[in-house]
Parts: sequence; structure tokens; C-alpha cells
Amino acid sequence: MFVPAGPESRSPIQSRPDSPGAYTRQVVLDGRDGERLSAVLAEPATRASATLVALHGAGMTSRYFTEHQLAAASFVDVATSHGVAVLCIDRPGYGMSRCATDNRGYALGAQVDILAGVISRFVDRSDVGAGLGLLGHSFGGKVALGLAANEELAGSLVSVDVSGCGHRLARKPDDPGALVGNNWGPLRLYPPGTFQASKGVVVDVPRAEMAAALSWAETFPGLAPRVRVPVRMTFAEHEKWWCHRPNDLADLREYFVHAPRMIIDEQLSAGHNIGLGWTARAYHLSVLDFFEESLLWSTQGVMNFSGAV
Amino acid sequence: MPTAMPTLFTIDDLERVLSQGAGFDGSIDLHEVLDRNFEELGFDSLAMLETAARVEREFGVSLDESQIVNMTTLRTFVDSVNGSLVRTERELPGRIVELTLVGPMRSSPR
Repeated sequence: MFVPAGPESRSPIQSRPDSPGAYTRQVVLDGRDGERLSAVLAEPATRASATLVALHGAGMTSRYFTEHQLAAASFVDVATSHGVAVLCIDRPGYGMSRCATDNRGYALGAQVDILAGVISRFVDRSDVGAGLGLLGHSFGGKVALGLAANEELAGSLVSVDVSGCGHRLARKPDDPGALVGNNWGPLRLYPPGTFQASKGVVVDVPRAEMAAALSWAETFPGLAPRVRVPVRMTFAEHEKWWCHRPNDLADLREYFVHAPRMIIDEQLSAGHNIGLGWTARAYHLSVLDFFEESLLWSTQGVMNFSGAV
Repeated sequence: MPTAMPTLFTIDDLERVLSQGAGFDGSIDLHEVLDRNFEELGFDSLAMLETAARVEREFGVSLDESQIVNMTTLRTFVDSVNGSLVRTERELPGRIVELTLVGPMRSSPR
């Protein structure tokens, strides 16, 4: 556990711009009931100061967090260069984490159950540094919120950070054309080569996940009030899946009644796939910013979120 | 003097951009398949997005993913780009400013 040495002690997240590089490897994680999930574990060159678990969106894999057309802009590049380890898990139904032979995938609750067991075991067996946070994109954001509300992980988490996920759908995922018309937005927001390179990231959406996407409006109101760690939700300027006008966001905030802090951010010049665009590095740095604040709050108690220090 | 942007997008332009961005090998004469579906010709939606993004940068038009969905054939693609070129000429006092590359490009994903 991180223990501050005194006023001169360093922050939990150490910036190491001269770091010789991260160690990234494919791993297999065991679940409570024998599930086996594939993942990418990216660790900084020296001991990780803290760890983020990253959960990808529907129709993508863990590579969403490891790929970017600009050098040093992927989430794992940005995080590990700041001393933070990242565990990018192929959610149940994806990668080698399919578990079921017919590829129906898993509904939200089943994914949360499996991942809670997997992450708990990972925490028990690994050195996660000063604390563990969750980062989820799109459907992975729903799973991240579900995990943050889950009692099994309650004592292990310091924060949950979500992008590309709100509480009011602007369009239905099962509308014809919706799956290919709303994920990117204006094409100028992405560096050359992004779409072709995404062929290594994009996969089919399991059927069970599609059904879960449609019922999120009913799931969210029961889930958000159970989140008891700092929450941040970021909407891309050109987000099309979710309603994110001021009245929507004010309503969204109201649900997190037990979260010690709730931040709603907007990432300018970004589309739904916020981690793959020109502004991805800026967004990824903001993830670390929020994580650092949450770690400080969790481990040192130097801030309380009502304003006094 | 800045280089003038092209004002017409042709099927030859499309062939060149498909070769550069979507791996088109020139094995089909595109003039003869103007009304064929892109998917039938072996180009998936990501290949078309990459192609459209290249057209956007080269021709100074602004294209959205949702427009690409409606560009199902070569003819609709060419017509749509030319429609955007006309609108850009008429509506914008200046061309779209291309974003500056802020870091070295990766040649391919790792």
C-alpha cells in the first residue's frame, strides 16, 4: 500500500519521460469458476505505481487500448510512461475469452460476475501498486460501472472512468445502419491509417451484448447509486450514440448519489472512438489526471471532495 | 502561394486513393463497375472509411462516417464527394485546415 513519507513525498503516479519502455505481454487470467480470459498486461519498466484495468467497447478487443497511429498516444503507452500498469482484458465473449462455443456472448450481469472474480484474483496475486482503477469505453464503460457497483470489488477500487457511455441512448443499436454510422463521426478527427489499422481491433458484436445494450436504460438507474468511488464520464464532442446535452448530463449526475466525486467531461475534437483520434493522447492524460486525484483521495486523504484540503 | 485544391473528383481519383489506402490492386477496371456495391468488390466499411478520409484530406472536403454508409457504389461515392466539393466551394471562405501531425507516424500497428 502506498504510504506518504511526508510533505516532500512524491505523488502516487510518477512521471518517467525517460523510461526505457514498457513491458507488454499477452496473459491469461483465471476466473473464480474456471473461466479463462485473455488480456494484455502492460507494465512500466520499473515497479508500477498503480494499476488501471481497461475494458474495451462492443465490437472491439483489448487492442483498442494498445493501438494508435501516432507514436506514444495509445492508452498503454501514455499510462506506462507515467509509471502506471494497465491490464487490458478481452471481455467475456471476445478474443480468447469467448468461453462459450456458439459465440452468443454474455449479458452485462454475467460479464460483471466473471470479471469481478478475475480482477479479484489478479489483485490478490499481483502487485498493483498504490491502488486499482477502472477505465471502460462504450459497452466496457457499462461493465466498468457494473464492477464499481459490485460488492466483491468494492474494497479494491479507487475510481471508475468511463468514455463513450451515457444513460440516454440517442439512437438504438439495432437500427439498420447504426452500427456502421455512429462510431467515428467526422473522419478528420482520426490520423491517417486509423481505419485500416482498426481491422485488427474490430470484431463482431456477440448477440447477448446487443440485447444488453438495448436494456441499459433500465439497468443504469439501479446500478449508478451503488457506485461508491469517484466517477468520471467523458463524452466526445462528436458523440452520437448518447444524449449529452446539459439537461441530459445534469440528470445523469443525479444518479450517483453515493459517489464521493462525480465529474462529467467533454473531449473536444473527438468522436465516439475517443482513444483512437488525434486527441487521444490528451484524453489519456486526463484519465491519468483523474486517477491520480482519486489515488490521493483514497490513499492519503489529502483532499476531500467538498473542497477543503 | 498555397496549392489550389482540386475541384473535381473522378473515378480515376477514386482508383488511385483505393490503391493507396485500401489495398486495391488494379485488377478490375473501375469504370466498368460504377454501380457495383463496394462490398461486392471486396472493400469493407473500414476500407471505405480510410478511402474517404484520404479523399477528405486531399480534396479539402469534410466527410462524416454517416455519409459513407450511404455511399454504397462507386458512382454514389464519386457523386457524393463532388457534391461536397461544390458545397465547400460555395459555403466556406477558406478550405478546411488540415491538422498538424504532432508526433512521428507509425508505419503499421504493433
